[in-house]
Amino acid sequence: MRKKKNIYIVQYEKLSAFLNGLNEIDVTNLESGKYELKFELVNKKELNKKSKSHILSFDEFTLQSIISDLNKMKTREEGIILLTSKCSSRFDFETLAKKMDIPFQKSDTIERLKEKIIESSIGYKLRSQAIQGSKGKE
Amino acid sequence: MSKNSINYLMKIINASVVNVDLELATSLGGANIEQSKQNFLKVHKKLINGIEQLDEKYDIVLIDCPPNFNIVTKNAIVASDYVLIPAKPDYLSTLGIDYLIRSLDKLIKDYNDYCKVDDDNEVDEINPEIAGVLFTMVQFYGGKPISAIRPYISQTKKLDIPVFKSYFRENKTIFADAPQYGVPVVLSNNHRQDIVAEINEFIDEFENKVL
Repeated sequence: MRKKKNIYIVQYEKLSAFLNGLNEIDVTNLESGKYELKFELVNKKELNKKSKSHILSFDEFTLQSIISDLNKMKTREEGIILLTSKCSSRFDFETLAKKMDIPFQKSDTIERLKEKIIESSIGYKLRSQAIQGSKGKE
Repeated sequence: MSKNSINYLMKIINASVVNVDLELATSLGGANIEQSKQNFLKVHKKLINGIEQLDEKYDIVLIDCPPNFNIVTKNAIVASDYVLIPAKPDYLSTLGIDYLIRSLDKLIKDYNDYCKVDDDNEVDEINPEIAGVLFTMVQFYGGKPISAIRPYISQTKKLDIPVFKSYFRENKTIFADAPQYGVPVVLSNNHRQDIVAEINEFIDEFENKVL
């Protein structure tokens, strides 16, 4: 019973700190009913995991340079080395695929995403050259 | 020149000419290389000879070929100034564009090489140009092609293959039964004027390219 009371107090204190931290506009909006508070129970572990998985390993500039480098490469192997060195998470690959306008599914594995990125940037040119022969685009 | 003043002749080469292809094939070959080359030219010029006999009331002759590269299709290419490539924006169809270009280059090279050895008859060299790839059966979402097909469109453009800006969209409702009644969708008074407008946009683009 004592332990439960402590939890209530701790949570009330958090609520109080949150309300005290609000600016005047937010308070006015709360009073007028335009805004409302929402309480939700969340699993901290899951939340941390989720927020970590949505952190990119590179900035916008690096993202553009990865795409530019991929488009200049002559072999799939070079592309795989670049992707492996620059992208570490699924979110990295998904962001890169989105930027390159490559469709993917949630069920795609990292390997599949990597393959799609390589084929859309290097593979299609190699394929075309192989079919058309020397006339294909360099 | 507006499209209303341009006379079109449409010839559809379909399954009914399959025997023609076989008959033409029997005329190929010869006792020696020179005779083989002359026969090659003779066989591949059948259609162009036929078209030359038409009166001059047509500005554009469209020859609709099946998706293969047999002698009848080769005849059509030899007779053409431009090659229009309709293709679906998917993996196999875009591979097919590369195969077509390769076959096209080989045909032009062979034909023009053989022209030089035919001393008895002066034969004009050919140089059919790729007018462009027209992506057909395109599915749209939010005013643009769906994400699954966009990579194939952009890859074709990046390969320096000419691609028409216009698309023919997938629409079974109006395209499925159009051949049954013999009236092209663009000429029928159907309720999808937006699709008719898209087709007209392509016609303008095509005519600007070839005329």
